[in-house]
Order: sequence, then C-alpha cells, then structure tokens
Amino acid sequence: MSFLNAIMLAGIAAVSVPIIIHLLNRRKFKTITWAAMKFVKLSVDQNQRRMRIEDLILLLIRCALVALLALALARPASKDTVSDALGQTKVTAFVILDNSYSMDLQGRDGKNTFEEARSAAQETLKALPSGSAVGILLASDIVQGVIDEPTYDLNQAEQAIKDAKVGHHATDLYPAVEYAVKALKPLQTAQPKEVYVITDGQASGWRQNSEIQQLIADNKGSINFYVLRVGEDDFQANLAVTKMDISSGLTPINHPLRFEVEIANYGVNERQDVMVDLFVNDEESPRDQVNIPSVVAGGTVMVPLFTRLEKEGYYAIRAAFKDPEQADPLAADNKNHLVVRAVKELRVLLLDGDQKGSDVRDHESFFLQVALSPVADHYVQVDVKAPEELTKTGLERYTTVIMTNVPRFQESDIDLIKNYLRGGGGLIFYPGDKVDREYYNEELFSRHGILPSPWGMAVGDAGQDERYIEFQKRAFEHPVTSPWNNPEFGSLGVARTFRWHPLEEKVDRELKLKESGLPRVVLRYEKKALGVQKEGELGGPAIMERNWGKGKVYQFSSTADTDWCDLPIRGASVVPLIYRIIGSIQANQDSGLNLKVGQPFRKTLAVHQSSAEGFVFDPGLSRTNNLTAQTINGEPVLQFEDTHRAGFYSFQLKGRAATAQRFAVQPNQRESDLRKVADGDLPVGADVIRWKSNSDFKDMVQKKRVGAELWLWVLGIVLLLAGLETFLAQKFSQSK
Amino acid sequence: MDVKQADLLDSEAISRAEALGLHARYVVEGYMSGEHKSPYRGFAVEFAQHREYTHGDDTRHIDWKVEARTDRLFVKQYEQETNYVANILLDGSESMMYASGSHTKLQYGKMIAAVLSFIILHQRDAVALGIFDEDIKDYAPRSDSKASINDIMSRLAAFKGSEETDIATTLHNMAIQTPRRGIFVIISDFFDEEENVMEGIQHLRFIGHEVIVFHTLDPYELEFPFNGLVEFNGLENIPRILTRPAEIRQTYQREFDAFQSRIKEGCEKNGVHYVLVDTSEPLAQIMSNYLSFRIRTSKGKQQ
Repeated sequence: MSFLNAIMLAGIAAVSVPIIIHLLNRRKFKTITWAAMKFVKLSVDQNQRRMRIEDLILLLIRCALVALLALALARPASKDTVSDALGQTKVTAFVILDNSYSMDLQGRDGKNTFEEARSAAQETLKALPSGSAVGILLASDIVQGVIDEPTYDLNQAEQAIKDAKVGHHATDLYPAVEYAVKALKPLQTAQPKEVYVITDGQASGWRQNSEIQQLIADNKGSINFYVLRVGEDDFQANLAVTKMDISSGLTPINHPLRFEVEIANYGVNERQDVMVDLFVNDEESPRDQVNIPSVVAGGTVMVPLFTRLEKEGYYAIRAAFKDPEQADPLAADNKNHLVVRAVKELRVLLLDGDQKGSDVRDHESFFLQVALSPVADHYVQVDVKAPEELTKTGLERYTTVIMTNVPRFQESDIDLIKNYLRGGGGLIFYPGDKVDREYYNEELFSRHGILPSPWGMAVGDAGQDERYIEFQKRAFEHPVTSPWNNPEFGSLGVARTFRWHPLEEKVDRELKLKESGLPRVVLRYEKKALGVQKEGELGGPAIMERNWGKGKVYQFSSTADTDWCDLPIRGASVVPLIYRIIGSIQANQDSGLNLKVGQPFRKTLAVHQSSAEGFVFDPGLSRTNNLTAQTINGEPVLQFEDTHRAGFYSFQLKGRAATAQRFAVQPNQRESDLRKVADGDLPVGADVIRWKSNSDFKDMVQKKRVGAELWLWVLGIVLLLAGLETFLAQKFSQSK
Repeated sequence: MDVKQADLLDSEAISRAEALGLHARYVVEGYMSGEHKSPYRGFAVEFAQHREYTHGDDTRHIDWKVEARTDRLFVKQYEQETNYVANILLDGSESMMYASGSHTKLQYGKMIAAVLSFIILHQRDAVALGIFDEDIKDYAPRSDSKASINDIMSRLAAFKGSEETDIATTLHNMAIQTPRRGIFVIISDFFDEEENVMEGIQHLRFIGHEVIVFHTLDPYELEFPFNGLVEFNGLENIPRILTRPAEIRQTYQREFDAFQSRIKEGCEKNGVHYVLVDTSEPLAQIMSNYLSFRIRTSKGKQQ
C-alpha cells in the first residue's frame, strides 16, 4: 500500500472532530422541570444501555467516515491488487518512438521493425490506465513532437502513432528523452510519470548513454523509464552507399565526369563482388557500373563511376547497388543521391598583382592560368587582369575571382568584392611578396571578415630547396580535399612549400562578423620541423576557407606561382585541387540542392515574387506539398521543411514548368551501422523489455506503477457509511 | 403562584354544573333535609311533597295536574331527600406544580375544588375542603352556609404546595376522622405509591363514602412531546436525568398509560368514579361531562 498524496493522511487526526462534537453536544441541552420523573426514570432505565450502544455505534461510524475520507484524499494505491476492477492509477507518459531509418529494417521474419514499434506503441497506449495523458515524440537525431504536450485524448495519440513515418535521420535518443523529462518534470500532478522509449536498440542511438543515465538518476522515483526493444535481437549485416561526390569538382557538359562513390560494409563478414550502378535522372539503364571485388568487414571502398552530361541544367545522379541481394533489407542506404548543375563553360577572373615581367611565364598567375584552362576552347574560360582593372570589371559573370599577389585594394574594390560575395561569388586569395600583409589583416580579416585567417609573418626561405614543408597525406576532413583520402586519387603530399604565411585556425569568435561564416581548414601541412622528416602529425593550415554572404572565400598560405612553393608545377595535385575549390564555389551556389535529412529546402525568389507559390513533390510518400512565399532575412523565400526522407524531391513554381528542378536529400550515414547496444549497456534504472518475447507487458508495467488506486473504493465505503450513518441516526432517534 | 379567588371560579363551569347539580350517587346520611336520598328516612318512600320548579329541574318531574290547578310549576318529590357532606381533598404536593401551559395542575385542581364547592353549597349541601401533601396542610371544616364559599376560596388561593405527597396516609386519616357517610372528592395526579393510594380509597369506601377521583394530569405528561437532549429536573426527590426524550417516548407513554390504567381500574373495582382531567381541556367541559355522566348513572340506580 502506498499513498499518492500522503500529506492528506494528516487529515486522519480529524477523527477527533466527531468525538469533540459529541462531547460538546452533551453539554448543550434544555432543562425542564418535570413532575412525572418516575416514568422518565423508568423509561431511561429500560433504554439507557441501548442508547449508549447506539451512541457508540454512531460515534464510531462518524469517526470512521472522517478517517476514511482522509484516507481517500491521500489516494491509497495497492501494488498487490491484480484486479482491473479496482481501476489503475492514471499516469502521465511520453512515448518516444524511434523513427530513424534503421527502424525501416525488414526482419528475417519478414516483419518491418517500425511496424513492430508502432504496434508496441499502440500496446503501450492500451496499457495506460483510463484517464491517463500521453505525449508522442518521434526520435532520431531530431525530436519531432507529434504530440508535444501530454493529451488525455488517447485516440489522438493512437492516430499520431498510426500516422508516424520513418525518417532517414540517424538515431540519438538523448534529445527526445531530455525533452520528455523536461516536459514531465514540472507537471504538478500526483500521477505517476512514465517514459517509454521504443527503439531497435541501435548502438549509435545510445551514444549519449551517460547523459541519459544521468537524467534517469536525477528523476529516480518520480519518472519510470522503460526501453522497449523491437526488431531482431542481433544485428544484421548492412552494405551501404555512404557517399557520392564529383571528384573533378566541376561539371562541364560533354566531358567525362568522375563520381567518387564510397561503399561501406557494416557487417562482420567480407562482401565480395559488389556491383554499383550509376544512374542519371530517371533512366532505367545505368550509365556506368563497377564491380568491387571485395569490401572487408567494417571497411569502406571508394570507387569511381563515370558519365557525361549532355546539356546544361540540373541532373539527378544516383549510385545504387545493382544486385538485389546486395540491396539488403535496410533500403534507405542502398543508394545515394546527388544533384549537379552541368555548365557549358565556367569563367574565372585572375587578378594578377605581379605582371611586371614581359614573359607571361613570370607573371604571378601564369601557372594558375595554365592549370585552369590548358587549351584555348576549354570549358574554363580565364580572364587575367591587373588589380586596378577590378573597378571597371563586372564580377557577376565570373564563378570565381582569384587574387594573386595583389598588394591591396581600393575602398571601392572592397564594396565591389562584398557585393560579389553576397551574390554567391567565390574568391581565392594567394599571398606573395607584394602583398601588404598588414592591410589584408586589418581590412579584409578584422574589419570585413572576408579572409578566413590573418596572414602571419612569412616563415621559411624561398631561396633554398632543402628546407621545406609538405601538405598532409592523410585524414583529409574538408569535402574539397576528402578525395585524397583515397590513395588512388593521388597525393598532395609531394608538393613542397619553402616559404609561407602561417594561418590561424583558432580565430577569436568576437571577430565573426554578421555575414562571415566560421573559418574551416581545407588543407594542412605536415607537422614537422623544417627539414626534419617526421610524418604523421598534422600541422597548421595551408588552405582555409569561410563563407561570406552567399559566397565563399579561400585563402592560401603560399604563392600561386613557384616563388615560394612548387605546388603550381605539380599538375597532378594543383589541377584537381583548384578545380575542386572552384567546383565547391559553384556547388555552394547550388548548395540548397543537396541537403541532409531534416535540412529545409529554400528557394530564394526575386523581390517581385513575394506572393509566388510553389510545390514540392515527395516521391517517397507520393505526396505534393504546396508552398507559399515567406520573407526570410528580407528576401521572399519558398521553404520546404519536411525533408525527413532521403531521395530526390521535385520543386516547381506554380504554373511555371520551366522552373522545375530537383533537389537531393541524403540520409545520415551513421545510421547504417546496425550494431546493437547490449542490454547491460543500457542505462541503469530503465526497465528493458524485449518486445518479441514479452507477453505480459501490460501486467508488468501495471505492477511497476503504484498499483491500483483505491481512493474510489474508499470513497464508496465513505458514501456507504454516510448512508448507513443517516439511516441509523434516523432509526436510533425513533421513539422506543 | 398567587391565584386570585375570582380566577378559581370558572363561570361557564359553574353555570353548566349548577344546572346538573351534584347528586350523590348513593344514599348518603345527611344532617339536613336536602336533595339526597336518606337511608334513615324509612317512610314516604313514594311521594313526599311538591316543590316549586326551579331552573334546572328535570321537566319530567313537573306535576302537570298541580300546574293546571294553580298555573304554577311544581315538581314532585318522591322520597325524602337529605343534605350530604362533600369532602374535597386537593393534592397540593410539588408534583402538582407542573404546567406545560398557563395553568399548573394545582391551579387546575383548585378550580375544580372551587367550582364543586360553589355548586354543592348552592345546593344547600355541606362542603369540607382539605388540601394536603404529606398530610393535611389546610382544612376548611364542613359547612352548608353559602357564605363559607369565601373561606374556601381564600384557603385555595392562599395555598402554595411544596412538599412531597403521601396520599394514602391522608386518605386513611380522613377515613378515620369522617365516620359518617358522605362524598369524598379527591383531586390529585396520584404520583405516589399506587397500592397505598388504592388502599386509602378502599378505606374510604369501606366506611361507606362515595369517592370521586379527579385524576389531574398535564397534557405533556400524557404525550411526552419533548425533542433533543433534555435534562429533566424532578419536582420531587428524584435526581436530574439527562436523556433524549424522543428516543424513550414510547416506553414513557407505555409506562404512563399503564399507570393511568391501574389507577382507573383500581377505582372502578372499588366503585369509585374516575375522571381523567387533562389540564389543557376546558374545565367546563370536564365538569359537565362528569356531572351528566353522574346523573345518568344515578337514574339507573333509582330505576
């Protein structure tokens, strides 16, 4: 027996009230002077014993009434009661339904894990006592509060569970558990509080296990936690297409384009002869396919797939497993999507700050010019101009503007550059002996936040060739350089740098200006003393970048020509590197077309289109979503937020077929690792229930609660006693 | 309670009762010729004399022949009528002091005594009045003088009861002190030992007295209508009792009815007229009811 409102037990002291009233009443009487006393005495003698007993009975009933009323208000509950007839204690609960894409797994028994989770959630609702309140959260690495505040309408909760869909997010259960606890904790209710986490037990979902453990410990006694494990007990092998990238960076039409596709084996066994196809748009036949002889257990393989794009425009590129057997039961990661924009030509402006020599090969930008546009009718068109020509040059037609050894800029140039960046342009800064470092650091870094880093004092000696520094050879993190993680892609480490301006990667965040993005390192030097060969440790940045406005700014630490380094003459390194940089600038302009799950799709409109409408077709759900323009940062924008499933989506402005374009949503690759967490590794204090093998879930949770609440029964007894008291009081007061 | 003499005489009761007269139910031994049969007469049993009709005489006794001759109304007197002595005994004990309404039982008893005295004297019979509790506390010796009514009234008005009652002793004493047959009118609530009371009455009857009992009770004593918690404070020497009267009413009424029945049956068994006097009822009604009953029963005797 326990009490949900134990403080009310103090009310039992009120049993003294009937006794006091009884005693007080005995002092309140009329006095009558009477003659026929012997008859009164005779009558009293005959009735005294009976009247005393009746008085005692009534007094006891009244005391019991008061005591039982206090008991009912204290809301007694009994765990021993097994009968539903007594009614269960109402609870306030949150059901957290894991809807990450591992839940979409088809089990060996043919059952879909999420279907099983849904039925577990429905059973959980049924196990809630009548009158309970429940909230429903869909949990992945985001929390979707389908019913974010507990509702008493269990039908609504049931419908919400029926309508729940698997998203293609990864799992992280901590935010959802934290949300539920924060919502339950302040509720001033004596009702038991419960949190049900219904999940497949994927290990990655519990990576914040210690934080969850802390939440459970902090709320021990006030919130009961249950983990309902659905799906297979052991994990299945999973082969996934985890990445796809265009290695050349640029997407010119009628040129072979190389797509780097990463295949990961999340199983415990080696997979052999894995066939991967490359599809363009809705074509049924693959443009290319590759056979991977072996993917070792736990390993990844990067493979190239090639195609040509015939005309300008957007293309939906899809890499997928060919063999249905390889297309394992977790379908979401058996393919990867990318939207690219094919261009006929791409224009680059080289602002050369050192064109004094008569031989163009002595010009600062010569090697870049050759690297970018090796032949006359190359798809990359390069214009070389002197810095002073910047003012009269329209920058809008250039994808990228490269500043090589430009000493400094006019104030008007800065405005020009900023407007260019705001429009989505790309800038690359190379240092050189003519560069006014102080000016750059003061104006372009500190004042305008355009440069990702200040240039440090130049170090190294360009006049010798024995002491140099090399680029990193492994652990490339930036998307521009990540292909070099694959040794088949070549190596950047062969290039030598003799003199450079050190870049700072830890920038004072207070310097971050309104339109400036956070600086990121693109490429690092090896960490080694000059001339001392000790590979392996990564050193300071060689190239950094940052977003500015809608554009992107890259900053090199060494020169564009061979004065300080030999990168410009290492064609195998410099060409793909600069192409990928320019490609990233172009891709940045189209960045809204390749999204991660949950990232909203935004289509910025012209000012006059503020009342435009559009729609997005979601092929995964075969659903068309209408969009209405809204103003974001002063610009009319059509925004679509329901990008919780991977795949290609179609967007179009209403009534304007020409505006149709696709955008791709990628799943979170972390979710492809289907390894399960062991029950023993789950937080202590949570009841772990294997849904498949548990047949008495309802009984179990009911017993776990405080049991049956008995106040209604006690109140019933109170009412019965009150009726009995009234009856007896009337009966006893009748003349005898 | 101070009672004025005038209050004791209920004019309506007197007017009704006077017409009916208080006839001795049995032959009494009178010391004056009166309206009552004398057992010592021994002659002129059939017709004795004519007497001029007075208001209230039974019209059946009018001698119409005499009326035809004289144009005056005379009634025939068949036997020798004699004067009787009515000994009125009024219980003045403390229990008679109870009143639920405006009159205590004692006051009501005083009124009965006064009315009866007035009527009897008016009939030229003699009245003796005794007021008692444990013993005779006040006594007006017998008198047939109409003027003695004032003395009786004064005594009644002046009396204030206080002590306990002892009816039996009083009756025995009166029986011894009154050897000549007469009428005894006892006005009391009889809240005493019933057996002793009946023995006293039997003593009176043994000597040959006619006895009339006016059992004087308050309506509340009959109904016991109290509610709530009540402390009864005894008028005589019984301790206070705290009880809820509603819950014992039936028992009380049962016991009280049994008491009353015992008194009544005891009276009837000894040839005593029993009159229940409810002090809430008008005295006139009680007196007329009894006197008409008395006439009916005396006629039956004559026939």
